[in-house]
Amino acid sequence: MFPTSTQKTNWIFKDELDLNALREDANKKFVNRFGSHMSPDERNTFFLDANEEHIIQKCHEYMLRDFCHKFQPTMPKYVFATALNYLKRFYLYNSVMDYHPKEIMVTCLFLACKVDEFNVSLAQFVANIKGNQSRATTVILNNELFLMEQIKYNLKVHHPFKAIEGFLLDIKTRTRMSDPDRMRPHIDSFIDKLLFTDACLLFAPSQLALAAVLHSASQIKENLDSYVTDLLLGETGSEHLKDLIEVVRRIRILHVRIADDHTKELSRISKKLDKCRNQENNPFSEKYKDRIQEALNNSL
Amino acid sequence: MEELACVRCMSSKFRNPNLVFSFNVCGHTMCANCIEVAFMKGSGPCPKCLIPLRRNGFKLQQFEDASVDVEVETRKRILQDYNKTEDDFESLDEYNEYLVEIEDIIYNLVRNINVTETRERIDQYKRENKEIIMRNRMKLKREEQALDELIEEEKMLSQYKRDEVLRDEAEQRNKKLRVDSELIDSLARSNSDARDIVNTYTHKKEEIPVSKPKALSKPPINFTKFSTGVKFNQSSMPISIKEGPLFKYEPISHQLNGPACPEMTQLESLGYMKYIRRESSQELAGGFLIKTSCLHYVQECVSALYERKTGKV
Repeated sequence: MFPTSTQKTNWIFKDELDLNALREDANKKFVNRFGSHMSPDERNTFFLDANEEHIIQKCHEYMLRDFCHKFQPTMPKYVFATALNYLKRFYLYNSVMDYHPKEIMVTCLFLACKVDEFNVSLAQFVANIKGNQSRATTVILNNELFLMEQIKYNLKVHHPFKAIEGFLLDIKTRTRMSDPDRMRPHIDSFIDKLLFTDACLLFAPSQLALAAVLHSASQIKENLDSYVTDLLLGETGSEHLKDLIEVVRRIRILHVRIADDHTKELSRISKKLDKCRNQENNPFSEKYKDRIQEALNNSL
Repeated sequence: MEELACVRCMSSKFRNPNLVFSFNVCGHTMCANCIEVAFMKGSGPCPKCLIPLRRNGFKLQQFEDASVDVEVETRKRILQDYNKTEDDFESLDEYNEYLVEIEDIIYNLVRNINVTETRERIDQYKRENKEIIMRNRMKLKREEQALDELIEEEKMLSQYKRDEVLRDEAEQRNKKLRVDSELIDSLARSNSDARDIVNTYTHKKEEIPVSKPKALSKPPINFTKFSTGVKFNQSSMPISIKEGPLFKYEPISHQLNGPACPEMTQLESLGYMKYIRRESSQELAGGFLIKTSCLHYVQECVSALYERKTGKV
């Protein structure tokens, strides 16, 4: 149940300002750590700022979607949604420059497969990756425990999918609306878009589901207002109506705002990232090898 | 002393040096061939004293006199139960008496004196001292294990040391070889005086430090244990169960933080079940009820609907 979950206690934030503050913090921490010898101007040109980091993260979210689409065997949507949620959680407290999102992305997905009981072996999983598969295997295994630590071992993620089924069932049972299943395509596209926003870090899954249902009802020219006020909330819940309306409004704003396309900037920022990323976490670099060797020596 | 011979075929070591002798509880010696023949069925009487014997009771004879072997065996068996140590007694005298008792018992058993009576004594002792016996056995086992571990560790250490020395020597040799080949090279190519070149290289060769026994670096640790101290591939020790208050079931109360939600029993009457598929017979056989899922869906859509985060961390 969501109300008693770790998702609610640890991973739902008040508003986007909170999220942005956390991301700024992560960015600043990294810049201060590695840019102590530079002047402020140099720092600005050398490192990514929080916004650029966010763009990189967004682009990798879309990459993850494409990867999941092509994944063999076919992957249920909630696995992807869980992975996406892990990715978002991870980069709230970590900088893109510190851990490259390409690596974290596949690790998130692999972990999500396990948590959501989508049973694939590591070999099967890696077979979907183009490029060096044995390297991908080591990357995933190396990062998996670290990722879990970073998301505080809060592995269960609640999604709006079940709540949507609940609402449709409830509407079918309690209203006279003709064929509520007409809303499904609209609901799906609404939720698909919301996945790429911060909505899952701001609202409860039931609220997202309600917003999706209301949005798609208006798309097919139906009105569910009376359902919400009279049947869903009823007498006892009328005091919460105002809050709920506000929540739904905010979700719909998030949904509208998504349109930005960053593909143009991506190549520029990626190049910059290749230069300024933490070489200690880049498996191709000499520094990485040194660090691993040192860690090995210390453990003896 | 008469020659050691098999009680069945009477052949002895003198006639056939390859004979393998075994003995059983009665102390009579038999050769491996005769055991094979006489105890085909797994059990049978001793050919000499007609005591019923079991085939797997035969032990390899190590002493010339079989009775010594019998005593060793008996002692081993008795000491498994009579495993008290001096710490278990209040005074030295008591401990000594206990030791004498053990000797008495062993003597009786080996010489067949009052066997039934002695066995009763052992049984009684076992009954009375059950706990102490068990405890001491565990203790012995643990001590043995610790010893084994120590030996293993020492073995690894010495192996590592040997390798280290060999490595050093090889390095030394390589260095010398390199200097030699350099010398040949420069003799072939350089224009300066050959004697000078030879001199510098002999110096160089002397400069190579004699392999000194350097402080041994720690050998790499081979991980054979989990961090809890349990060895790999070892069945875990029995976990001691703590007695506490008994578990008492309390039905789960859902904090929905949302509008009221129908109960499991109401789903049918409210009409929710009309819009959801029936469970297949396979699912029913597995104990799956579609009602549960239905309730779950409905709960999911009302839970946390009133959620409002008012500031965090």
